[in-house]
Amino acid sequence: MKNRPTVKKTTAKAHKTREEAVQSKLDLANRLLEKADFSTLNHKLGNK
Amino acid sequence: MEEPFYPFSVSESKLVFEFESVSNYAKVRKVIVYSRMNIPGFYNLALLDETTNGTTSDVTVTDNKDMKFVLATVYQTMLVFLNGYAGSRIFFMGNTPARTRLYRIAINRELVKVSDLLLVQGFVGSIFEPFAPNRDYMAFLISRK
Repeated sequence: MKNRPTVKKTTAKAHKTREEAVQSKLDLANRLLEKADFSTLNHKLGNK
Repeated sequence: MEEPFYPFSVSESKLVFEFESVSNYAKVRKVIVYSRMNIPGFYNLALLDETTNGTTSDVTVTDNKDMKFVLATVYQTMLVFLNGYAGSRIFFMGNTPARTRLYRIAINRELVKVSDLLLVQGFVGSIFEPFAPNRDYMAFLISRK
């Protein structure tokens, strides 16, 4: 039997505290941008 | 965008906004939180439904039939945020591909009306590109022009 790639399953938790929900969305967004090519942004980043 | 929007409260930091989505179906407390990301100048937008006991749900579909009003309110909070955090960019995505697709449709319908003020970009694969209707994006990026 072939080795199947490990897929990390995340179980959606319907109810979280606000902080948990915000952090979870933030983590997801940060992960998504890990391999982003920022040279495709068409103007300069802000300073903040 | 001259769309009517819900009145909202804003925290002193201009990072947390709250309002109530009201329709014939239900009254839902909505919270928008802008959080600093790992990339300098990027803030993640989280739109949450908050229940009466203070917990939030980001996996339910409210379906309060007021998407236009909610989006117009989100847009207003973006302006307040971007005024306070000049030069920053707002990053947002749905928690499921279906939700992200819904956002794309909503952006296509509403946010393009303010394209003279805001720059909307889509994120796909590893690149950012000018927002194009009917293109499947993983996330969106909004900044002031």
